[in-house]
Amino acid sequence: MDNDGPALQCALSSGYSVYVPAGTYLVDNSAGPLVIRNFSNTLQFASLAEVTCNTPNKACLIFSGGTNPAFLNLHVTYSSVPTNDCRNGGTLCVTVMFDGQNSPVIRGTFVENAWAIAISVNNTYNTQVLSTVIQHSTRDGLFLQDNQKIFVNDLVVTDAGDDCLGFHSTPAGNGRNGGTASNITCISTRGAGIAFAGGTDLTVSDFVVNGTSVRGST
Amino acid sequence: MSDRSQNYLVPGNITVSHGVVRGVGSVSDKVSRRGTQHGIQFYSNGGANLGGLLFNDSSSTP
Repeated sequence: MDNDGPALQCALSSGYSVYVPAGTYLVDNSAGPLVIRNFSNTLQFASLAEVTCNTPNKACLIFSGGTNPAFLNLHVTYSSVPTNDCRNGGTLCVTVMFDGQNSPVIRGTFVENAWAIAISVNNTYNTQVLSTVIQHSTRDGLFLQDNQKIFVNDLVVTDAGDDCLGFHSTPAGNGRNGGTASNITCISTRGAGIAFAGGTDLTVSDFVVNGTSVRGST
Repeated sequence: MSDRSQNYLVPGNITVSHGVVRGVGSVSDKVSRRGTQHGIQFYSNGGANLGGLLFNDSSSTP
């Protein structure tokens, strides 16, 4: 297959803002996700642009580090619908991850047919996650861990394989806490609609949870 | 998301307001999980989950 991953990595490592025109950008993630480090500009996808990863049981796209980046209208999926849910010892169980950014704006993200966690935001400061749509994941929809003052608004998660929206904190988070989430819609969730596993000073308001799982048999 | 090995801290000072929870337990599932029957889960590192919720609509007056 064509692999647009190296070209994307080159563009996103240039130190400039990047506009991704309409099109399907195939990423070979068979050996691991496309990892972009220290992106601190604006990445904007056109409305018909999408990244498609070819290996539906591995992570697809990771952004690590960066200051004041903006991620606008990212659209990420796999070339076939994942069925594996990354239980039983899997690692890096996520389709798209944002890790370690300072004041990022993540707006208009659309992830469909996600493997494991659709979107994970970890170890960030003053993050805004806005107007997010997740359609089908084999694990959590939006997973948040060890973030300081995260702000989530306008999230729609449909058919998640685990929690719809989860707040988490661990000892490694060094006390990063606090955040708000509002205008949350969770439809057909195989876990909790909204979960709190750690974290303090969190406020969730204006939400609809419609359909959570029965207790499974395995 | 919930198993002891992940070493999550105990949540605190959580405010949840202005929401609707419906269809609890209506979605088929193959994974046995605890605490998912409430729509909102408060997890404490392998300990007890939130349990039954009490809803108080403070905007309604007698």
